[in-house]
Amino acid sequence: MKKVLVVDDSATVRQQVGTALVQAGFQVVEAVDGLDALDKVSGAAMVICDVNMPRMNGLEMIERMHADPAYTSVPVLMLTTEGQPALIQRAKKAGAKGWVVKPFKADLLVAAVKKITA
Amino acid sequence: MFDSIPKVVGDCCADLFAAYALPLERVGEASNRPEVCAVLGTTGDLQGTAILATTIACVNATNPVGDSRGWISELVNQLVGRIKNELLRHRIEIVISTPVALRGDRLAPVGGGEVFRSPAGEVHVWFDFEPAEGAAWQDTADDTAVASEGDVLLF
Repeated sequence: MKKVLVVDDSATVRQQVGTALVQAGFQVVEAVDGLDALDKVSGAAMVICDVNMPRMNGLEMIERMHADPAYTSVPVLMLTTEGQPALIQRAKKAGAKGWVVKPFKADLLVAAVKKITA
Repeated sequence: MFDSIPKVVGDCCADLFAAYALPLERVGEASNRPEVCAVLGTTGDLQGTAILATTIACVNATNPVGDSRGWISELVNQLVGRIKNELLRHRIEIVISTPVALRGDRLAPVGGGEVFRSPAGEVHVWFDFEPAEGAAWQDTADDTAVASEGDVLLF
């Protein structure tokens, strides 16, 4: 069973994403911000990550994570309210595989996760 | 120059709740008091405060799991995210803070804002702001400026 790390400071969003992924056959681990995610990324098949979070935001997290040779290949999908091209380009440059603007549709999110982890 | 913003805020609020299958209808005046609200500050071109206030039933109607404080905080975050994206189309850029939630008995705004009726109770939204020096509203919207809500972009 593939493990997906879901990173969001909203417990409800983590629950919504987690429910959709568990129903689709994924194992889900939750992190509350970027720093917490760096502690929990080991073994993850991919990461779904918010942008605006306390302590460490999602863009810093992906840049730090992909700077570590052990996690360079772990794909990241950003899930955020942000839609600015500059942020999307920064995430893409840091190695993100995709960008979803909240609110998300569960079926589309699961389809994206399946495609990225295939 | 910024007269359009209250309508943007109201439209974004209605669109947000519609995305969670709760239709909102604009009403002139409030007839009941919200029980929970969330507040989010903005800086950048508009220095202000956005407030979303409603009933517990309305919060639960958009998300039956989880706690109402946490979810209304996320709702105001998504609301201001929508507002931010719409404002970007008019060359107004705001930076948003972390939301905070507040429960109360008779939460009420002092003037302004919009009130909506829904099957689960009223929704109140208001955005009190001051434009920063040099901020300029561009009348023509640039629809290529931002990604839209619900978009899934794979690289």
